Amino acid sequence: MTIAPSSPPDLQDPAATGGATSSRASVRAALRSPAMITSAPLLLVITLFFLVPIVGMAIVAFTVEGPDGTDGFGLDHFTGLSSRSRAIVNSLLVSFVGSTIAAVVGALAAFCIAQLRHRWLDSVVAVFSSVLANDGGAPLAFAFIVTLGNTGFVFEALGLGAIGFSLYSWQGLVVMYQYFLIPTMIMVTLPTFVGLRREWSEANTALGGGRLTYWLRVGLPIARPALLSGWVLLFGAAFATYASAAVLIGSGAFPLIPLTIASELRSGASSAGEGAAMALGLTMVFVAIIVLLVFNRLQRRAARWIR
Amino acid sequence: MTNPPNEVVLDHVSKSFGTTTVLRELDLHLRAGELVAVLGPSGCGKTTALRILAGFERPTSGRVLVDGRDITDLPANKRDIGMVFQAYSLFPHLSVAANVEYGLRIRGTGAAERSRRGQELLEMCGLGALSSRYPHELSGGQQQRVALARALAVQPKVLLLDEPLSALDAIVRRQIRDEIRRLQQQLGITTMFVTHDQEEAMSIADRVAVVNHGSIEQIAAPREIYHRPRTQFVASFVGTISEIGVSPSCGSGRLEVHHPGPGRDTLYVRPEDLRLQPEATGTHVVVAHTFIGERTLVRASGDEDRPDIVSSVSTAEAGSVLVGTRVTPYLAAEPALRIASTSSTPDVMAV
Repeated sequence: MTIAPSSPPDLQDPAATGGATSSRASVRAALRSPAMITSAPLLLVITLFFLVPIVGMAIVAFTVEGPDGTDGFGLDHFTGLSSRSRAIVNSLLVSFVGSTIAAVVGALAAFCIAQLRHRWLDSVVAVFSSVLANDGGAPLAFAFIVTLGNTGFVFEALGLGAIGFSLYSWQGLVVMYQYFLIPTMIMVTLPTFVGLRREWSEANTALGGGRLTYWLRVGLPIARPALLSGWVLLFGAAFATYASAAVLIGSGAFPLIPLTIASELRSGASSAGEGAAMALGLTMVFVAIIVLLVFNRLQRRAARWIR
Repeated sequence: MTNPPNEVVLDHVSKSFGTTTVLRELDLHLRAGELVAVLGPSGCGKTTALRILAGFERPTSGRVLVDGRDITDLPANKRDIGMVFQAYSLFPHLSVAANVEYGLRIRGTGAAERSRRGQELLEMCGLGALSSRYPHELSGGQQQRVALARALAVQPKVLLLDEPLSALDAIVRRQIRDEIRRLQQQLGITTMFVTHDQEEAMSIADRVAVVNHGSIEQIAAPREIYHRPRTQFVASFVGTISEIGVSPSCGSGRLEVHHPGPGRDTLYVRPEDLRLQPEATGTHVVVAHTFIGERTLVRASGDEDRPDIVSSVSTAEAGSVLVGTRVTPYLAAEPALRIASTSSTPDVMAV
């Protein structure tokens, strides 16, 4: 019996070379697949307008100037955010209060609309909600200034000054945010309330349960993922709102993260200001990603139950 | 776990939605412990009758009685009636065990007793190993078994089944149908089974109530419904039948078949009661064979004045009446129904 001399598998072993060739071939095939070709424009947009800016922001945010004047990696811009903690706390406060109120009001509105079981009404609400949910920015702020500002006609008609209400405060921001947050909540939760099956309600009744039992043990638990995902989405939307808040309260009186970023970038070309802005920006991106992950997970569960 | 059998009566029950009358003075009596299948075409009112019995609809007039007690005005959640729906009625956020125990939980049954009875029901339905699964992890047949176990867990006085098999495929449908029947007989629970599938109704029920336009045309044992239908509708709705016109003097034997019309008696003849004799001068020509196992249905077509007829022959003999063979029909037994030419309403002569 003759034993063949051993040799490097990548040169002699046909299985190994074949494996490498086949993996390269499968990558090439995947790149040429219809799915890859049709998703190429989307991937290009994501790369250019999402990944590249984030990488750029990260580079600036983690770049610090050393004692010798050279640039290096560091967390100074992030640790420096403690001096801007007011903006972070304010953003969290306005987003939490605004999204919670809108979640409750929007969910109740969606519930009431769903009870009417009117397809025409559902369609009208869906259209209006989607328009209003995307209505914001400077025009919205001006609309609120002329109605609820210090000389606004609704402000004067209701005598809101007497109770100490001011549109140019965090409470004012919360009120203004309701304009687009409530329709967003209706839009997100209406399909769930409409999708609650009559069979579930009747099964509960046949088994001896009343209306309250149904809502406590069946209706609300089934709707809970959609309600939570709606609330999370509202929180994210309120957290990221910039234009309307900028028009309403500017940058000084009540700092928010988006306003602080703008202020830092406007304040000159100082690398410290830019670095802090990018660190805040990255924080917002992180919050947005968490919000979207939680939203998607909850929406998937809601869709599985309601389909 | 047994249920005391209860009689159920729908007494002159009518129901209208706006100007549309769905049920007209419907009378239905379910004897204690029996399974009655309510059979009829879509929109005939059978589901409305079931929903009135369940308490989900109020009758416009008439009464609902269970064991002699008038429950017409009793809310649905106080009626002690178990119900299995067409599909998708399991609570999606609860496990199989929690679904089955749901009724017991809201009745305040203790956890240990709840768990014991839930497991007992799941074992009876062959689902003991699936108690921790969720509805979306089950097949359609398993979901309907769980729905059945859930309905039975509260030991209802009456069980209502609203087309519970219609969303299932044929094989599973047969299995679940047999299981429903087994459990119903084991528990002796009075059961109303609504369906539009005649095979399902005939194979599962003690009696079948055939509903048309909101009233019962006939209620009888499946065999009687098939062989002795009381009305034209029942004759033609249940099973395959040939509707033929004959002279009033026509008896058994060779048939001179015509379309039904004035001056003619109308016979409703089951395929097994009609024999096709191959003859060169026959009035019909065999046009199709339908193989149904031991028997074969043979369809023969007549000329313009003669309607199509269907006969059933043993598959072994089907070769004697191949497609294209000219045949003459013979009446081998009494027709299921004969409507005399003079009667304006069905004159039941064959019953």
